[in-house]
Order: sequence, then structure tokens, then C-alpha cells
Amino acid sequence: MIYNNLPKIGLIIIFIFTINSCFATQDYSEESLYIKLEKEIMCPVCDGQTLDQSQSLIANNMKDAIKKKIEEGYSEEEIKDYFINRYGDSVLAYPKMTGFNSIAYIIPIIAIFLGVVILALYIRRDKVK
Amino acid sequence: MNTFGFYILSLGFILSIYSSLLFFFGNYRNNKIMIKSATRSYYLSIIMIFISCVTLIALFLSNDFSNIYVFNHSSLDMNRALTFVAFYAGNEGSLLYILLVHAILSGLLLYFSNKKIKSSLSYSCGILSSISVFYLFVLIFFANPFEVSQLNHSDGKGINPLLRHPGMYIHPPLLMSGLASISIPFVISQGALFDSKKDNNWFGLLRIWSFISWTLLGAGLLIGAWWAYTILGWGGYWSWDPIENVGLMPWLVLTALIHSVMVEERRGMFRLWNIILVSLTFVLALLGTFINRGGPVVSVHSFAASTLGFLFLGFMIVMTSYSLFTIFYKYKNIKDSNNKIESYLSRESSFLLNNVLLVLTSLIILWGVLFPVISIIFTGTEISVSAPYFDKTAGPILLGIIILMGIGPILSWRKTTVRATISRILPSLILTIIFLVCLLILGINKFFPLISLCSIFFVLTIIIKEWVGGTKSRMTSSMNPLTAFSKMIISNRGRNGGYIVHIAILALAFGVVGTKFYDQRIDTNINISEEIAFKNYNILFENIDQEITNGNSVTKAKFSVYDEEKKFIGKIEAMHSYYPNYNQISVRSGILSNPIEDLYIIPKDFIDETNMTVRIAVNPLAWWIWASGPILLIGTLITLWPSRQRKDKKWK
Repeated sequence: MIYNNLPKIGLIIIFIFTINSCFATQDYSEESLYIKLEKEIMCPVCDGQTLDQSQSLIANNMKDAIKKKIEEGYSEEEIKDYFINRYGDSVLAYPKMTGFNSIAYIIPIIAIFLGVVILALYIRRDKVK
Repeated sequence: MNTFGFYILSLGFILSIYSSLLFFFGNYRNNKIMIKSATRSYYLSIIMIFISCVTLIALFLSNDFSNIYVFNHSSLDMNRALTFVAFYAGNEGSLLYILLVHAILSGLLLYFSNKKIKSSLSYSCGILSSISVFYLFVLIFFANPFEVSQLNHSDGKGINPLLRHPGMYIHPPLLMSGLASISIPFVISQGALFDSKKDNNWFGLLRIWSFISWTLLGAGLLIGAWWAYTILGWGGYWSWDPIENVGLMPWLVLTALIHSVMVEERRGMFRLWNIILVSLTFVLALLGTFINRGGPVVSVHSFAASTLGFLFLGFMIVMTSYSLFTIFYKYKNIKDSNNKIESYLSRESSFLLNNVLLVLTSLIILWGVLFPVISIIFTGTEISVSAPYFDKTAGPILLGIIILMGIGPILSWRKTTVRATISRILPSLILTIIFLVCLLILGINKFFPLISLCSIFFVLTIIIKEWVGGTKSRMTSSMNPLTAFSKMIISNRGRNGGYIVHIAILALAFGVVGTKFYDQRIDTNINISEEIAFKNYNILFENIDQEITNGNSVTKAKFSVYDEEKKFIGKIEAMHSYYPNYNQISVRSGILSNPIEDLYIIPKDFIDETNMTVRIAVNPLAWWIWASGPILLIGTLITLWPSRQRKDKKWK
């Protein structure tokens, strides 16, 4: 009995794990916080490049600013807010998880959920016939 | 010569129109003579396209700067070997190149499939030549590569510095060929839809051609990543840039397709689903072309950007509605065998799950690419969607697909029991748990890399176990293990080639995990003969070398690398090339690579003759990403190598 339900349970576990890992966060040391911010903040004047990809003057200035702010003890959120205030929302390399932009994350989760459920139903229908 | 090229192109245009009309009409009337005439004129149009390409190359070689395209992408001092690159360096040339690939591939299809497939092949060819007509139309009226300037130029602007790299000989041509080649499986699926005789040979063709497209596109993407890694000078290889994404999306759907056509081959199922997948791939490839040539999103790949976006958008809309329409009206022509899915735990089910996940990943990436546009429309604020978003959304699903890659192939067709499956994967599971403990002892404790490494290891052990078992059962007393192994590989080329491709994907994933989660870097200022210790390296800055070749100045920084015990490991050369014509600096990073990690030096600024700023990075396991390329190639060749003609299929 339990054997026959294992695949379903497996699927559910994979699904939960997928969602969970989307939101997994970790603590960051100063060094890795810098690297993280460098990858999560865009260079405002380059086409679609994050700071760590860009060598432009403004990108380098922003990197220095990040370093300084980390040393001064600013948190990740404060540093991001600082740049958003100066350059607008598009300076963040990803849509925020709040407000309208949370749709960017909700839709994929719903899509995966629906996809797997529809698939399971389809196989079941086919099986019965 | 310019006028000649243009006339030849126009001739090709007229021939294509003629042949596409005649293909459709001949197919409708079932008129052999019309089809023959259409076929001949289509071959002729292919020749015309070929001649115009040769003409353009001749213009490059003869330094005819009265041609605007040659003027913009070449110069007197350009290395002649780069002519091939210059040919597709811009909008007009790359379109001509895509058309050439399209023409050659469709010629091959026409030539080799004529005997196999009797009915409605001409319908497919009609679509192929209509696609040619579209490209020729764009070339002739909007992007003429043979346009002549009134001014007299004695020298050209020169080729874009970023393109002066060996990867450029293969990356763009492979990628463009991959995208262009998708139209072949697409027209094959259309032929199957319109085939009232329900000929199953269509799906055999579909299998081969979709695998070819998959390989071309995959290799193109991989070499593009390699190019970015060695020349763009930021230490990464994949930035989830919109143009990279639009290449990845059709590749993911093609990956789904090459799996589901296997179910078709064995069990005669999923036919309509295959056709839907091909059409989706084709539409995504067109979307890619549209975004590449003046779409609504910002990207670093702006060299082919133009105002032609609207043409491709229109073409995409037409083709999308067309394929929806044909699927909707002709799906009755597609009949599956009477087989059904019998269990959740079967090869068919696992392939379906793989299909769903791959298609959804592709659509989620599309969602991310388009989201900035959606946000502007609905909220009016500009936002960016870049690597962190895609890592979070697509990353976990791709990991799930890798786990599936281990379990799927060992499930048997039709149905199997949980007990049997578990006993088959039990050794691998135990090994994986031991591996997990080892990793934890080694101090790897981040959640995501831990799971990824374990999954990779798990899948690898399963493949190895299958192979060891297969070899053992073949081995007689007189046979050495190596011959037994190769015999085993050859005995089931499709399956084992597939396994090898899976190993390539594992190598790729291994490298991605290493570089993604364990990269380290410092930015520093360094003087000549100064030594910097970074991780277990001692890096000695030897000297700066400046030379001027062909008016471009090249500044090289040379480093010697020693390990902790001051033992010499190797030399690294990193350089800046400054191109005054383009007012552009191209950075070439210095890399010292081994399977464990890459030492990667990016020259940032040369302050003066003795001082510079550099970024020194260590990218663990990056070597494996590039190693996956040759493995992939071997697997593909083993799979595609023509075997004896299959007998008539019987579905088990």
C-alpha cells in the first residue's frame, strides 16, 4: 500500500523542496555579502549587466560605495535601498517579492504546481482506460 | 559585383516564390510535374543563395569598401582569416548566413527524404521555401548586404574587437545554424499533420532532425559561454542575458522533444504532443530572432540590433497563428497507437514529467525575459530581471530534472513496481548517502550545492552501474573488459549515446555548482615584481609589455604563479587591446586551468608602466563545464551514427 503511494509522496516532496529552496536564505559574511550585492545590483548605464560584469566608471564607483557601506555596518537591505533611492527600481537585478512584482515569482510556482497536477491527472485518466 | 550579388539574390527570391507556390499547388492537385518543377527551382534558389554568399565573401576579400556592409565590418589591416567572421558580424550578413544554413539544410531534407516519404513532403517543402521567401524579402527590401555607398572609402571601419576570438568562428555560426535548423523539424511536423495517409516515417525523420538541431544549438550555447568566459572579462560564462535566454528556451523544449520522440519510437504514443513541442520550439526560435534584432528588452548582445524587429515580430505572429491553426484543424490526421500509459512508475510517465518540467522551465524563463515589459505596462516602473531571478526560479527545476535523469532511464517501459525500482537504485542510494557524509565532513554545508552534488553523484553511479552490469554480462572468459565495454556501448547506440550525453550534462552541472557557489575573488592594486598571496597561490607580477600592431595597441601583463611552497605552477598572460577605430577596449583574461579550479586574472586598469589593478578570482570546477562539450559531441555521434535500416516497427 505504502509502496504504491511512494511516487506521489516523492513528487510532493520534490515540489515542497523546490519551493522551499526558492526562499532559502543564508547569513553572509562581509566578503560574501559584497560578492552577493555585486551580483544583485545592476550597473545603471550598461545594457543588462550587473556590477560584477561591468568595468565602467560608474560601476566601479558603485562597487567602492558598497564596500564602504559594508564596512560602516550597513545591512544588505539598507544598501539596496540606498541604490534604489538613487537610481530607481531597475538598479535591482531581480523583481522585488512585494507588490505587483511578486507575480514574477507566484506565476512560476503556480505553473509548476498546475503542470505536475495536470500531468498526474492525465496519467491517471489514461491508466483507467 | 555588388549589382551582381543583388541580382542573384533577387533571382533566388523569385525562384523561391515560384517554388513555394508550385509546391503548395502541386501538393493540392497532387500533380507530379508541378512538384518536380518546384523541386528543381527550389534547388536552383539554393544555388542562388550560395552564389550570393560567395559574392559577399569575394567583396570582403577584394576590400571593396564601396559596399556599405564591407565598409562597416572590415578593414585593410584585418586578418584575412577573419573574413568568415566579418561575413556574419552585422545584421545583413548574419541574415544571409541564416538563410544559407536554412537553404542547405532544406536541400538535404529534400534530397534524402524524397524516397522515404511519398505523400505531402511537397507541402513541407512549400513551407520551407516560404520561409526562404521571407528571409529573401527582408534581405532585398530592408537589409541588403550589397548596398553601395556613394562615398569613396579607402579603408573600412574594421571588425568589432569583441569578435576577434577563436570562439567566434564557431559560436555564432553554430547558434544561428541551430536556430535556423529548427524550421526543419517544424516543417516535418507540418508534413505529418497534412499527411492524410498517416505515414509514420515522419516521426523517424523528426527524431533525427530534432536531435541535429538540439546538438547544433547546444554546442552553440556552450561555445558562447566559453567565449564569454575567456574574453568578456568578468569571470562568468552565463549571465541570463535576454539573448542567451532566447537561445536557451528553444534548446530546453528541444530537450523535451528528443525525449518524447523516443516514446513515439518505442510505443507509438505522444505523437500530437511531439508536434506541439516542435511548433513551440519553432515559435520560440522566431521569438529569439525577433528579440535579437530589435526587440523590447535590453541586452549586451546588441551588435545585431536593428530596426527590423517589427518584421520578425510580424513573421512570428503569422507563424504562431499558422501553427495553432494547423494543429487545431489537422490533429485528426495524427493517430497514436493503441498503447496507453500504464503506470505512474514507467519510462513513459518519467519522460512526460521531464517534458512538463523542461517546457515549464522554458516558459518561466520566457516569463522572466518579458517581465520588465509587463511591469512597465502595468505599473509604469522600470525593473530589471537578471541572474538572481533566474537562479531562484529556473535553478531548482533544473536540479529536479537532473534527479529525474537518474531515475527515468532505469524505469522500464509500460510499468514497473516500486520494489523493483528501489532495488535497482539501492546501491546508488547507499553510495550517495556515503558521499553526502563525505561532503559534510569536507565542510560543504550549503544546502543547494549539497543537494546538487549528491544528485549528480547519484545519477553518475546509476549510469556506471548500468554499464558495469552490461559489460559483465557480455564478458566471456576470452574477452578483455575494454572490448566487452565497447561492444556493450555499440550494441545499443541510442541508449548508451544518451547516457554519454547525460554524463556531459552532469559534468556541466558539476562545473556550474562549483563556479556558482564557491567562487572567490579579490580586487587589488599590484606593482611590478610584487607578489600577492591568494588562497593557495602566490602570484608574482612579472612585467607589462606594450606593443602596437596594425594601429591597435596591446598591453599585456605577465604573471608567474607559484604554489604555497613556492613551486612554479605556470604563467598567466592577461591583456587589454585598444582599438582606436572603435574606441573600444577588449579585455582578455588570463586563465590557468585544471580540473579542480581555474585561477582567473582579469586586468582592470593599467595605471602606469609599473602599476595596475586586477581582479584575481578562483573559479572551482570551471574546467568541467568545458569538458562537457567533447563528451556531448561523442555521445551525439554515437547516437546519430547511422545504423542498419530499422525493420518495420512493432510496438512492445
